[in-house]
Amino acid sequence: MSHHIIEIKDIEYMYPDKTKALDGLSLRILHGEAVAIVGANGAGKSTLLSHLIGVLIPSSGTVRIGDYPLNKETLTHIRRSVGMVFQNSDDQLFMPTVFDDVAFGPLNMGLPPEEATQRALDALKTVDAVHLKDRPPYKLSGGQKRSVAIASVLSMLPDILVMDEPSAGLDPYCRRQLITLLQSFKHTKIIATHDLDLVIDLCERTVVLSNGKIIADGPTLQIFNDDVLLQKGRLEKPLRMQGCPICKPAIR
Amino acid sequence: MLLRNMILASLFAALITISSQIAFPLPFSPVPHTLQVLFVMLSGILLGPRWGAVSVGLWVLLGIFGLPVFAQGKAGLTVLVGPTGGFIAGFGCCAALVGWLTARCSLTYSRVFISMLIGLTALYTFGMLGFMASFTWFLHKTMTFQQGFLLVVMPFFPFDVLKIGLAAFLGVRVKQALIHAGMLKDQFQ
Amino acid sequence: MLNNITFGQYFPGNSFLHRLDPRTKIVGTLLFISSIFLAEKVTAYVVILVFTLLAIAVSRIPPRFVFRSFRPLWIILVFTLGIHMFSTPGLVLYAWGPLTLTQEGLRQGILMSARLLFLIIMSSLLTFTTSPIVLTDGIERLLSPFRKIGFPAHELAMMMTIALRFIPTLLEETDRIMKAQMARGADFSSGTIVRRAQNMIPLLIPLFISAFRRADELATAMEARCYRGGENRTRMKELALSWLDGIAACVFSLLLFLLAYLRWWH
Repeated sequence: MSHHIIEIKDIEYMYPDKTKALDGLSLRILHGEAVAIVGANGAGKSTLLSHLIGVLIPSSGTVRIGDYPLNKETLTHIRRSVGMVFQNSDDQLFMPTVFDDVAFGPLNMGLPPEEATQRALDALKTVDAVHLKDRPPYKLSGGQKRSVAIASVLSMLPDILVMDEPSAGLDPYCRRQLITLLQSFKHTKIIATHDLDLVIDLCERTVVLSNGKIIADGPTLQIFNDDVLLQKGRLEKPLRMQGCPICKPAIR
Repeated sequence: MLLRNMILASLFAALITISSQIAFPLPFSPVPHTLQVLFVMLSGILLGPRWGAVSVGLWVLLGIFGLPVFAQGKAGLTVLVGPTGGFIAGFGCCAALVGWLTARCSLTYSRVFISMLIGLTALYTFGMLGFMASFTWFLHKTMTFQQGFLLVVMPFFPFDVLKIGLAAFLGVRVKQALIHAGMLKDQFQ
Repeated sequence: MLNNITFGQYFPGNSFLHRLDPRTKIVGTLLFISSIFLAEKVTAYVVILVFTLLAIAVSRIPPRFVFRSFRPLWIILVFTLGIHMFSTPGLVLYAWGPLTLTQEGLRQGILMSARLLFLIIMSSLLTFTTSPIVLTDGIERLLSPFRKIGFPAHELAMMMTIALRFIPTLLEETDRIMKAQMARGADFSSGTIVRRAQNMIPLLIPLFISAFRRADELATAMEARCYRGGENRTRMKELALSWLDGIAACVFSLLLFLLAYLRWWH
C-alpha cells in the first residue's frame, strides 16, 4: 500500500437551495489513521464523505488524495484508491448474485476474469461471506448485506476506506463482528457515524462537525470527555461512558 | 447523468411490471383492471419522452424474454402477437408522447391531464389497430373499424380516463416534489 | 409469486437444449418462427410437428409445463379453430343449425391452430431452457456488432439486469409504505372508488420519490466502483460455442431445407 495522505483545504459546498453544507473545512489525514467523523444530522458528514470519493466537487477549496488533486481527470484514479461503503446497502448491491456484485469493481477496472474472480473470492473470505456468493443480494439479512457491500469495495484493493454509518441497523452480534473485522484492516479508515461506542473501539482520532464546520479534531477519548463540546455538537457521551444506570440515574 | 437515467428507466420498468400484476375489480366492468396505464403515463411525465419510452421498452423486452411481466403474469413473444399486443406497443408511444407534451407545457393539472388524454387516445389507436390486425392474422377475417371500436375502446376507455385523472394529479405532485428537492430541473417556470 | 421473477419461466436442467449457447437458441427460435410461414401443405406441418416434439423431448421439460404456456392464449386458440372450422366454404361434413362444418374448414382450423401452437411452444422452450441472465448475455453478444453504429447492447443488458433485480425490492417497499399508510388509517380495500384513489396518493408519491433517490445513490455507488459503461470492461463469462451448437445448427438447417423443398419444389 502506498502512503496516501488526504488533504482537504478550505472547502466549501453549497446545496442547490444555496445553504452551505460545508463552510471552510480543512482536514489532514495520514496513512493508516482511523478517523471518526461525528456530528448532528445535517452537520455535513455525508457531504464531506462524498467529496472524498469525488461524487461531489467543492465550490471552492481543494481536495487532495495522495498524489492526486480532485478533479474530473483524476476521478478514476482516486476511485481506485478510495472505497466507499454507503449507508443503505440496498442501493449498493444490484447484481443478480453476491459474487457478481463483488466482482463488479475489478471487472470495471479491466482486470482479466481470473484475477477478478480471485479478488472477489479473497474479499468474500475476508468478510466471511463466501458461502453467500451465489445468493441474490435482496435475499440477504441486513448484516449480510453490509458484509457483502464491504467485500464489494475491498475487491478493488483500496488504500482508504470510507464508511457512512456502517453499524446502522445491525444487531449486536453483527455489529461486534463488523467492529472486529474493521479492527483487522490496515487501511486508512474514515467513518461517519452516530455510534460513538464504535468510535471508541475503532478510531483513535475524532472530528466533530457542526453546521458544516469542524469544531473539534483530536484524540477520541479527550473529545468524548468534553461535555461542553459534546453539547455544542448536539452529541452525548458514548453509552459506555455514561455510567451504570443502576448506580447513577439517567440523564433527564 | 446517463447512468442515472439508465437506472431510472430500469426502476420504472420494474414499477410498470409490479403495477401489471396488481389487479382489482371495478364496478360496471367485467374484466379486472390494473394501474399499468397510470405507471406508463407517470414514466412519461417524470422521465421525459426518451427515457419514458426506454422504460416501457425495457418492460416489453423483459416480457419477450419470458418473464411474467405483463398483466395476469403473461409472458413471451406470443403476447405481443395476441389481442393485447397493440396496447403493449402503444404504451411506448404513449409514454413518449406524454413526456414530449408535458415537457412543453406548464405543470398544471388541466394541461397535464389533456396531454395524458392525447397519449391515451394514441394508446387506444395502437391497441385497436393491433387487435384488428391480430384478429385478421389469426382468423383470416377482416374486422371493421366499428367492430374494433365497440370491442376494444368502448368497454375500457372510460375507466382509463378515470385512471389518468389520478395519474395527472400524481404526476404534477411528484414532479413538483422532485423539482423542489433538486432532483429534477424545472424547464418551465 | 412475483418473488420468483428471477426465474420467470426458467426451468433449471441439464438437457441438450439447456447446454446450448444462448445465441444459438435465440437465432434458432427466430429462424423457426419465420420457417412456420414457409409451411403450406400438410406434410410440411407434420415435419414441423416432429421437430417440435423432438425439441420438447430433448429439453426434458415436463409436458405439463409446456401445456401451461398455452394458457394465456387458449381463448385465441379455440376461437381460431372454431372460426376456421365453421366459416370456410367447401364440402359440408356436418351441419348443426347455423353452423356448418366443412372439410376445408376442418383442415384450415387445425393447421392455423397448429401454427399458433408451434409458435407458443418454441418461444416458451427458449425461455424454459435459458435463464434471464444468460439470455441477456446472449442478446448483448448478438447485438454487440451494432455497437459500432451506436447501439448500446451492453447498456441494455445492464438495464435489464437492474430492472430484474429491483422488482422484489420495490415490491417490498410498496408493501412497507402501504402498511405505514394503513397504520394511519388509510384503507385500500374498501370504501368508494374516490376514497380508495385518494388513499393511493400517499402511497404512490413516496414510492416515486424514493425511486429517484435510489437511482441517484446506485449511480453514485456504481461510479464509485469505476463503472464507466461497457468500454474496456472485462466480461466474466465468455460465451463459447461448442459442438452441441454445431449439431443444433445442422438440425435447423435440415428443417429449413425440408420446408423450402416442400414449399417450392415438391
